[in-house]
Amino acid sequence: MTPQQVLDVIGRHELWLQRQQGGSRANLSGLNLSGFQLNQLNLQSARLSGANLSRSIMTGTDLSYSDMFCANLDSADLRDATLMRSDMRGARVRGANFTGADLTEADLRGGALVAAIASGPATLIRSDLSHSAMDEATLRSANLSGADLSNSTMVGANLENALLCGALLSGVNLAGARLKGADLSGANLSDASLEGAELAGANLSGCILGNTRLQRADLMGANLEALDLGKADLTGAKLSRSEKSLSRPVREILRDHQVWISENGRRGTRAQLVKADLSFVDFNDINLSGAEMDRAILRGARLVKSQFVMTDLAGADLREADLAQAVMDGVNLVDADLSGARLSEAMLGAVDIKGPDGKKTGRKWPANLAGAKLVNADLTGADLRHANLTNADLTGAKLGGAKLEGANLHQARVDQSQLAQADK
Amino acid sequence: MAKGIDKRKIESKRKRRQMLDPSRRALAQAKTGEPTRLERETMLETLGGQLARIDMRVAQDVDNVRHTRRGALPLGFLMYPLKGPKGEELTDVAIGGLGLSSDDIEASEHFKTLNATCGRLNLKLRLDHRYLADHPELTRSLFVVIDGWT
Repeated sequence: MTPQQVLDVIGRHELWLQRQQGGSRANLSGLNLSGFQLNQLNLQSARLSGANLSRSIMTGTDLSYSDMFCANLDSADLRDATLMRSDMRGARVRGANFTGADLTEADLRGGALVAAIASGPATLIRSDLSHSAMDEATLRSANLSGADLSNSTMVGANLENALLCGALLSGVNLAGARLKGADLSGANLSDASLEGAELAGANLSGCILGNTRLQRADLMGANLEALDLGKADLTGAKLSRSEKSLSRPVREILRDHQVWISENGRRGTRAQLVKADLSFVDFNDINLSGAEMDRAILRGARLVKSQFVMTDLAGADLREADLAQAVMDGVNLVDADLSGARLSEAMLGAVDIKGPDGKKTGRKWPANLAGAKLVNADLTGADLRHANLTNADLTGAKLGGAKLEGANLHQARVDQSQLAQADK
Repeated sequence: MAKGIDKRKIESKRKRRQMLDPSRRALAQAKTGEPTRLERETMLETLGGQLARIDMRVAQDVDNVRHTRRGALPLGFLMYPLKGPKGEELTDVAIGGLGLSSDDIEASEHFKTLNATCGRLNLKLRLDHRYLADHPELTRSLFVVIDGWT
């Protein structure tokens, strides 16, 4: 087909869209339109399946509802184009420019190539959008399941409720992207940047993480099941895991412990959560008094008003945990890392030791924070009376109004200006 | 002289074998020029066999790729490449060279049966020419495409 014939087809298509006489729907399927200038056209509902549109220029063109099944759009310029509800399954779109484009509800799923003769395994055909520019593009509710978006730039893109199950997102730049309610289950996010991205309510279960940058990302209410958060940088991220995201054995241990507490040890079992990964859990108001939790990972956990009386948390990772108003009398926090933790108005005092008759013996069991790292921790108004803080690192810790009466600060790293703010 | 007789015998035997084998016969005739009715029938027969095999497996294949199972990657379509009598990738040029078109394949009994099966399974079926290789101009192959699930 000559360029003039293509223009005639497009002309008749525009008449068809306007329901005028002589119009007909454009069928450019399978044609080689590589490098064609097709910008600012109305190609709504056009048939372009299998067409070679590589290096074509389609800036501002309306391709909504178009059929671009398995089309080749490599290095195409689609800036500000409208591709709403377009069928782009199995399309090859490497190095294309979608900056500001609207791909709302576009279908970019992959497919399977199955040999009818042999009974071998199917070959996966992914929609290939790797190395594409999609900054500020709208991909709301788009289906990108299994798509290859590796090394693409999607800064500030809107992917709310998009389906990205099993997508290849390695090396993608999703900084500031909106991914609320998106399904990223099983996606590969290694070397991806999601700094400041909105991921509230997103499904990240089973995602592959590795050198993933999630700084300042909002992950509140996100499904983080089977996710190795240790492989991501979560500095400043908003994050919480519900109890549901924990493994069944851990959930059972927690349930049994609550029974053990409420039944005063007659029934239930004391929790053994040594080295357990409870990072970013939302456990506000939980009672884990007496639990064995040494070396447990509670990084970023929300533990406001929780109870840890006589709990063994030696060597635990409590970095950036929120323990405001927690009751932690007699707790063992030897060598625990509480850097950046919020312990404002927490109770870290001593427990009265009672005799077999249940009466107080007059002796006290103090909270033990020997060697604990409390760098930049917020201990405003915390009760640390009689606590053992020998060798503790309190560099940059806020101690305004903290009660330190009888506390042992031998060889603790704390300067006088900090202590001056404390309530002695 | 003896060698000359042997060569003639071998050649004669080879031609006889070709005439007995329909696919070989079709290929031999294709080399000579105009396609024959037999060649077209051979091709349709070959394609019919493949369509029948797709008909047998399509329900299971679709079940494997749609998002019905936990952990399965949800895919949007199935593509079955069609092959020629020698198992070669079937191009639109090869089909056209035999005086056949997609319409002829779609009018075949096997295609109609497959279409009915897809209809029962709420699936869509179509024949499609697709570029899949890096140099699309060289490989425009014929595929059966099945989709229609969300």
